Amino acid sequence: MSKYIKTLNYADFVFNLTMLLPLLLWLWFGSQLLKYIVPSSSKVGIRISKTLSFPLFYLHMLVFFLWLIPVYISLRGLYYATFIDNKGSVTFDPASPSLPPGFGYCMTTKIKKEDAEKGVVAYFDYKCEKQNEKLILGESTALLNRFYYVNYGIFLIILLVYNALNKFNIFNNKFIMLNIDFALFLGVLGCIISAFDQFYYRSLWFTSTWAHLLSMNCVCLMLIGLAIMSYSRRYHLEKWSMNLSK
Amino acid sequence: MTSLFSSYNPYNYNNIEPTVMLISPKNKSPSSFWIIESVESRALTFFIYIGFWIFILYGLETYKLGQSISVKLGFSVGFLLLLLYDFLYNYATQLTIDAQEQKFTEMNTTSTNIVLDDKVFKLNKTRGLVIKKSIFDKLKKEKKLNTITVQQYRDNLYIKSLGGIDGDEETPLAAYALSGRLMLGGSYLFFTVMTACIIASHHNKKLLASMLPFATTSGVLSVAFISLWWMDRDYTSLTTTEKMKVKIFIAAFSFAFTAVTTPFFFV
Repeated sequence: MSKYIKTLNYADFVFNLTMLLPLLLWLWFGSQLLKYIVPSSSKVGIRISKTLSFPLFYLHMLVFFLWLIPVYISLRGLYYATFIDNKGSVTFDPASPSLPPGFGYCMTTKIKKEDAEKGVVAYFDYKCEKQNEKLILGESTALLNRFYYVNYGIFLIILLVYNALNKFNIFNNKFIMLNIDFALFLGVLGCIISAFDQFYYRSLWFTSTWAHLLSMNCVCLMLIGLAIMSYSRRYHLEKWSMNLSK
Repeated sequence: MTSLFSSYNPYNYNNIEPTVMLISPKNKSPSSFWIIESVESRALTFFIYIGFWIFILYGLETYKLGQSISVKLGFSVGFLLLLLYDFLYNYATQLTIDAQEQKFTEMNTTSTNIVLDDKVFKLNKTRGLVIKKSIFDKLKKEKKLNTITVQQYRDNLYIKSLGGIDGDEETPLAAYALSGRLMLGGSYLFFTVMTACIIASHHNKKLLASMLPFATTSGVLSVAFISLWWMDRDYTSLTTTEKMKVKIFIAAFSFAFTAVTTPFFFV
């Protein structure tokens, strides 16, 4: 553009593509989950099926669909950044910025001739910048709170299970334990957002990337809930059979 | 030693000619991240970080308890985050979007200045100017432009009116809001790590023993240190306190990371 302001071609694509980095963690988590998935036709699988209100195969399908949620959300963001232009038309457009609605472009190189002669190379609108910063800080605080609420939910589940260990101990289930450990790991990762929320466009990258981590954390809680539901069914069955024997 | 550090110019990159920002005193925009740290203080942060880790590992002999992979991971992640924070704090104004071209752009802005005597440029409440550094230096030399850096301006204002007039983003209250968010993040961090410790305590006492020293250190740093409260005498000290607390928070995160990744590598 000029020797004072350099245009970064495809920066938007890189901006959005690098936001997908948390997916590497998610793929690793998916591979770990597979270790604890018991084939529905195996002996153990058939035994587990009897404790569920529906066939084990459907439980596997549910786990897979839940696992897909963060993948879908992340790829959707990249698709909109790459194939949708500023007017909303479908076209290959990886260069123009695709920022959240309401996020202003605060710098312009369209300057008056007399200002250019005085050595001005751009105008910078600070009111616009202030609003952008407000938006980023708001997003960051909202993300931080959501990470907390999700992990607080897990904490309450753990407290409940501690009180009911003699009835059903989910801590012996490796599938649930993997989910809890990974959710808490994501919860710790989520907290660092408050240290990186005051750097303007670069903070926007942080909030958007951490939003993907949050969706993964939410799915972990969903998977824990799903696994506990299968336990509750067994618990009720045991209780029911005990009542019958009386 | 000092001259070695001072000769290093962090802005000399990408062959972009340097520019300077000019803003009006009426402008109430945020400015803390325009105050660049000295290279000495930036280097000192990393020495303290490494020294503190050595103290925790060898001084308190936690290396005997912790999982070596988790310890290496936690230390490396914290170090990389400190590097990232250092980069962002000292280069944050460089990345912008040009509304005219609708493209991401990069600038080599060396300082942000408040224009006290505005005869050359017509600045208003919201619009700032990006001008060539060579022109800025020339106007200053010819005494056609009276400016001071944003840091000096805020320092003066801080003493007079605790940071500025109503609506100013850079009052102490705005800085305390950042500390408040860090505090929130720190307490959430501690809460999450302690939940992981509760689970570990149920499974294996050895696992708990290898997590607890790091979890406790992260809690002490992220909650107790960030809660410390004192009044700063000027705006520069206020932003220095902010930066210091963020760096302590990153160190706390590195210990929390060590604790929370331990169950994945525990044998």
